[in-house]
Amino acid sequence: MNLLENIHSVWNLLGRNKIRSFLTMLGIIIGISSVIIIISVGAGAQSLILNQIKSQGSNLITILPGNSDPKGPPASVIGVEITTLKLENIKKIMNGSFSALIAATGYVKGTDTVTWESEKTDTTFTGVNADLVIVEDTGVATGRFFTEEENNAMAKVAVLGSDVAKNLFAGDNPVGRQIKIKKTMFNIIGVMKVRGNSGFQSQDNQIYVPIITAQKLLLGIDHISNARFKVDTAENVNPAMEYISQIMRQEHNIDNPENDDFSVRSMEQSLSMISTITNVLRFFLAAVASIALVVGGVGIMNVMLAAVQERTREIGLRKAVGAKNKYIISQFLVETSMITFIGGVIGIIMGILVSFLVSVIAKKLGYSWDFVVSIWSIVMACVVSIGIGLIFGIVPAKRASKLDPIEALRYE
Amino acid sequence: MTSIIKVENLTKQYENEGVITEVLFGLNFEIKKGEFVAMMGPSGSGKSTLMHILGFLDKLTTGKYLFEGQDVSELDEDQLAEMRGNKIGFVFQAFNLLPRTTVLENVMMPLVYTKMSKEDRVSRSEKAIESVGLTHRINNLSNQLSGGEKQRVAIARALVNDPSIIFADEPTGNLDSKSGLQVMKILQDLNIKHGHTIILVTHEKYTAEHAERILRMKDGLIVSDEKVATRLMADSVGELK
Repeated sequence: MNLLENIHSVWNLLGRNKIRSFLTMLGIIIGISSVIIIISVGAGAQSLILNQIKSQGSNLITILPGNSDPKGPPASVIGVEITTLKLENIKKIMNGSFSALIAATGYVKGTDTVTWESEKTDTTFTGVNADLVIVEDTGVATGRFFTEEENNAMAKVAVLGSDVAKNLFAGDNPVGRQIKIKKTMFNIIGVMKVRGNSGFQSQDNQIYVPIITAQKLLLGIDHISNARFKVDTAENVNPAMEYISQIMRQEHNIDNPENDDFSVRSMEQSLSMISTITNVLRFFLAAVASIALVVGGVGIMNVMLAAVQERTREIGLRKAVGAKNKYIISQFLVETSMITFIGGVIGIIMGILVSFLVSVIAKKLGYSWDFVVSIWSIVMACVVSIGIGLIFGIVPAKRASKLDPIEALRYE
Repeated sequence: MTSIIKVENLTKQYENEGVITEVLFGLNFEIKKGEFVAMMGPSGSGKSTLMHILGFLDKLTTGKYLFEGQDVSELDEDQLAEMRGNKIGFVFQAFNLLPRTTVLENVMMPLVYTKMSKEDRVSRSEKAIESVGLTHRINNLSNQLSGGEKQRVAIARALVNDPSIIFADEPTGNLDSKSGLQVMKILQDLNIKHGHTIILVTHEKYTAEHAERILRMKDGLIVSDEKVATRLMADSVGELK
């Protein structure tokens, strides 16, 4: 009997026990589809995050306080507050001789419940320089952004993110009104364009205030949490990073780069760092989902052991009419791997459908979400599902082949 | 006539947890090509064990078993399986058909383990089914058949590999008398008209007398070996449908 005929007869056999065959496959279907969904939706989410970061503008350089490995996350991610980065450092860099740096802004952040008359909303206030609109390639929808003069004068002016404007003023034009942040009244001078999410936080649910105002009046600090520079062309990004590092070392009296108390990153490095983190997350989740495959495999082994018992007489008969042990083994192995393979194919189809649905919904919600199903994940799913069939099928198959034909024929 | 089975001093012992049970005690006999022999005896007489040894399902303990002149006591498991596939046809009391499988597929089953092409397998199986008069049932599922029809399918299955010898183990045991006679007629036809060698295992004298020679067994020994004086013929039941 060749393999094709064996497959054909197993196909008929599975068709005769549709419900049982389906239930047997279920574990594999769930396992394979979860893995496909996680890998695909993970890739979609990753593309979303990366697209949004890219949308913040190109040719950007970030300075973070504290030293860190360019491949790993900075210390601030795990909540360490480092106070060595100052606004003066940024000024020094911008006032230097390096003309490729066209704009820069520092950042400080805080959260508060902001009120306008009786309306309240929980939001983030971000202190920035006036050049934010150049650095982040953005602008106001109505009104205007504050100027560097207002910043230097610690003006109490605010530009609302589009969500904050919606939450507090429900469609009315907020420009010219006053809101209260940390007990200080601010004049609203503008509302930002809709910007979407960046990474894990909304860019629209925040209020921009002059950075010096934020430091002195709202937060009582004199350091900044990070700064960004815009470089004119991509070729100048690396020389600019080198220049920024030099100035920073001069400013902080550091003679050995190993002792840097800051990190300079390009957007490209940030993108690859985020890719690294999200990839680790994706594969970790896929590994968790693949536990379902092992459970499914054990379930199939259980069903096949019962099938050996149930078909004892058939096995005895097959041996009596000349089937060698290897034929019995291959019959059962083909059966289990067919079950897992068919389950795998159904799981792949379901996984693709669900991932597609998620991407459609995400696009409808306005996210730039890519629908990605990689060929290798499908090939892997096929190979893994057949592999599970072979691994978990071998014990029942061996047991079947070891049956004594006389005993098997007598089995009731 | 040439000898198909020759047994010399054949013994069989089973060992179970150190306890040895002797089942067959030094049997000697010979069966010639084209004979129809009944092995008769009460249960526990060793006739089934003997049939299993002769049919390569079990191994003898001591003695010699020559099948078509070949000493089979030294064959390994795979070689025995091959012998069963090529030389032997089995008919069992409980039919042992595959459930929810068509008549054709059941009959074709032994050929699945040969290198024969699919077309040859189908045509061989169709001929075998025709010879037991079940062509009209060829695509029915085995569980849709009556007991007599099931046993006829089992006979077709035993015939399909053109075996040197057919072993029928209580083939009428689960059948009513009319179906039983039909089965006996088919076996007699196969023997008389087509020259097949048949060994019938039974505990019934009436069934055994359809053979031409009876080996009587008791307590693991052959107590008599004689020609049937007046052989019963199953012709009287009329032609098969």
